[in-house]
Amino acid sequence: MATRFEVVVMGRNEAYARAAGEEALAEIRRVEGQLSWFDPASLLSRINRDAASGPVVVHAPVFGLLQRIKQLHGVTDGAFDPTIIPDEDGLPETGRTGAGMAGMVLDIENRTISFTRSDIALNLGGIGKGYAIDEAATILREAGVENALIQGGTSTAYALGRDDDRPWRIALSHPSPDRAGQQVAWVELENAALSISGIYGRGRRLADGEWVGHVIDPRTGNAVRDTELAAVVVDSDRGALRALDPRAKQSTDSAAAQSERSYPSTDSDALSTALLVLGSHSAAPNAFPDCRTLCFSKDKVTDQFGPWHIGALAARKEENGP
Amino acid sequence: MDRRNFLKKGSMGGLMGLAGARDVYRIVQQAPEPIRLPPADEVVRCAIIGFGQWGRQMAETVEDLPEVQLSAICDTYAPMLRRAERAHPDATRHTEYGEVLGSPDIDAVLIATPTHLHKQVVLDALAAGKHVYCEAPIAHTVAEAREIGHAADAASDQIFQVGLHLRTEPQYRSVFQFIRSGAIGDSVMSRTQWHRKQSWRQASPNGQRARDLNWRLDADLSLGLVGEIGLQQLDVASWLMGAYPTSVTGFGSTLLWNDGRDVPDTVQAVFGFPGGRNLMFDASLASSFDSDYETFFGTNSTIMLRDQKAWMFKEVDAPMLGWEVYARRDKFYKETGVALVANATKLDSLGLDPTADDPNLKSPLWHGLKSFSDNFFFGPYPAIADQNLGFAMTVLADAAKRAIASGQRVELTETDYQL
Repeated sequence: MATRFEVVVMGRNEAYARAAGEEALAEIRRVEGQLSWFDPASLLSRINRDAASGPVVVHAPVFGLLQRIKQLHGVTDGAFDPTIIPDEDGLPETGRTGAGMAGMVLDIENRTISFTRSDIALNLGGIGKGYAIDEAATILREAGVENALIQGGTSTAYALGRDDDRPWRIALSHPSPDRAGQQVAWVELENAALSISGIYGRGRRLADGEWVGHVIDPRTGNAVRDTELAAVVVDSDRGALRALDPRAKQSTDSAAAQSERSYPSTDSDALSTALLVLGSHSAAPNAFPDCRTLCFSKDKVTDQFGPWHIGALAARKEENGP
Repeated sequence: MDRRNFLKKGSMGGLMGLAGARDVYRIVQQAPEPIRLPPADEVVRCAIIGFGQWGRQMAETVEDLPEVQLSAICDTYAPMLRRAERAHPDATRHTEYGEVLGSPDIDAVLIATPTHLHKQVVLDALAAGKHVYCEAPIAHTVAEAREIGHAADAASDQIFQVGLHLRTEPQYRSVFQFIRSGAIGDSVMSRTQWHRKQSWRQASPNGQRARDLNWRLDADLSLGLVGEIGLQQLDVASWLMGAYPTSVTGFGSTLLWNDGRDVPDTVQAVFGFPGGRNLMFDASLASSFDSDYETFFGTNSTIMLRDQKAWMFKEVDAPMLGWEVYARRDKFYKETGVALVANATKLDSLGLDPTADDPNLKSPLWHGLKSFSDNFFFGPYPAIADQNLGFAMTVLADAAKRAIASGQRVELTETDYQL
């Protein structure tokens, strides 16, 4: 994946902070290696190659991710759907008319995944980045880091602890390429993940000047047009999403193991895509339990839930952010 | 043990002995690529001892081998066991490795503790009748490596394999045969490098734990970049050259990570092989440029091994080999490399494009563990990376460490390498 990840670790001891950051980045590389669409030897490629001809056994953490994908698909009424029908060249981004989660079967007993149809594939581009960030955050916590910021592709960020004396502050840029760099809103994060999704990027402009983005509604196959930008904040310790965690139920005597771990970035990554597709928080109220959500279209806020600061974020004197 | 001893073999590969110049042309008889299926319903039940970064890598690799069952994970540090529980919920977890050594449900142990802690675990595991896969280097001193080697010799009904796994990696095996058939002409020299910009330090909130974790930065416990990283490349070079080095000259400095460590972050070493051929080795934690690879220079062509791939760069006056006309070519600035593909005919027969990236590519570690499990089902026979090789490579790493520390040339004789 051609995604740039960055880790900012706060701490008095530079050698220690650097070492922890290196381990977090190594963890992200490890996860990317498993979930890469482009590496033919990755676990994801093996699933896509073999799951239609029989069950493929996957490691417990990745199986947990697959279970979570099913649940996120369910709570978003199908607006988040990483199953696709690849085009002739096997490319993930086209022909995405909702292959349907029904074609993906998980066997909890044997920890396997299989496809009921031979033409579908799984593309984790909409959730893998968040999952990698969550795994990296776990590594930082285990290393004793209390304050850090991890971001991937400038679309998902996880704020661990605080930025010195206050929560981490992250600004959202205007989604249109014409107004790149213009800040439209900012938000405060403390032990929380933020993801943003926009329709711009690999899109095209129609003759009448309207922009048609690369995000396709998996339920209809149509390009998303109405909402230009969707942002979702998920807090680490929110009960509703913790209850969503399949591993919390799966594990019996592992309260300690689980308490160190939650999946805010995984969820926010998937939910921001779903929110862009759904267009507003009210369209699928069950999809975003306890999340802060924000939708932008035609230069104005069209839906907002929870505390967001609209407008530009004043620069802090000391440089702290990435 | 009867079935296994029945199949016991003499030697599979290993070093070809000190080769003179002419020997390089000889096509060496190699054991055929094993085509083996383990007996149905039988698995090797393994315990991993040491669940740090490498132990985790091992555990993940084991899960890709259906005939190997990850039954137990041992680590002395509670957070590592919680990690183990999340990643491998079916494996039992232990803070005392003695518990798995005493268990009749464990056949083999895979040792991934810090190097200086290997010895006691190996001795205890062999005494408990377990098969042992021990990471390389097997020890941080020659004396401890010898103790391990003798213990492995004494337990001849048990497998002892060292984690020098490039000798069992198909691409390396294929290049080995290629070079031994004389395809590069006379060997001229070789060069290996390993470049990363990283601290090599590990972080922990617990002070004692942080000291334990950072044994690689402690000159008393660590064989440094040559021993802990370069050993795999030095093993390949010794294998391809058909001899162990007879001398080492080295240099080392700490150029970036001045954080109190006493192990250099940047080293160069020249290893002298018989016949006036030298290997230039360098490793750095201060620059990542050009990553890591090995290059073997010959009078007719040069071979570069990189990322489990290989290329041949021909001299203009080199004889035509024929097949290279059809081979894939890759540009490296002004040079053109002819891709050398292991198992090309096999891939072709499976309908896979031999020049595309191999979807079934497995890591060198996977192949190392696969040869270990093959040995369990069909052996025991001496492992390709056995105690003799493990001992010899510790001798070499120790010599390099002394050469770098003293700035003196260290000479090595054939007897130095003998267990």
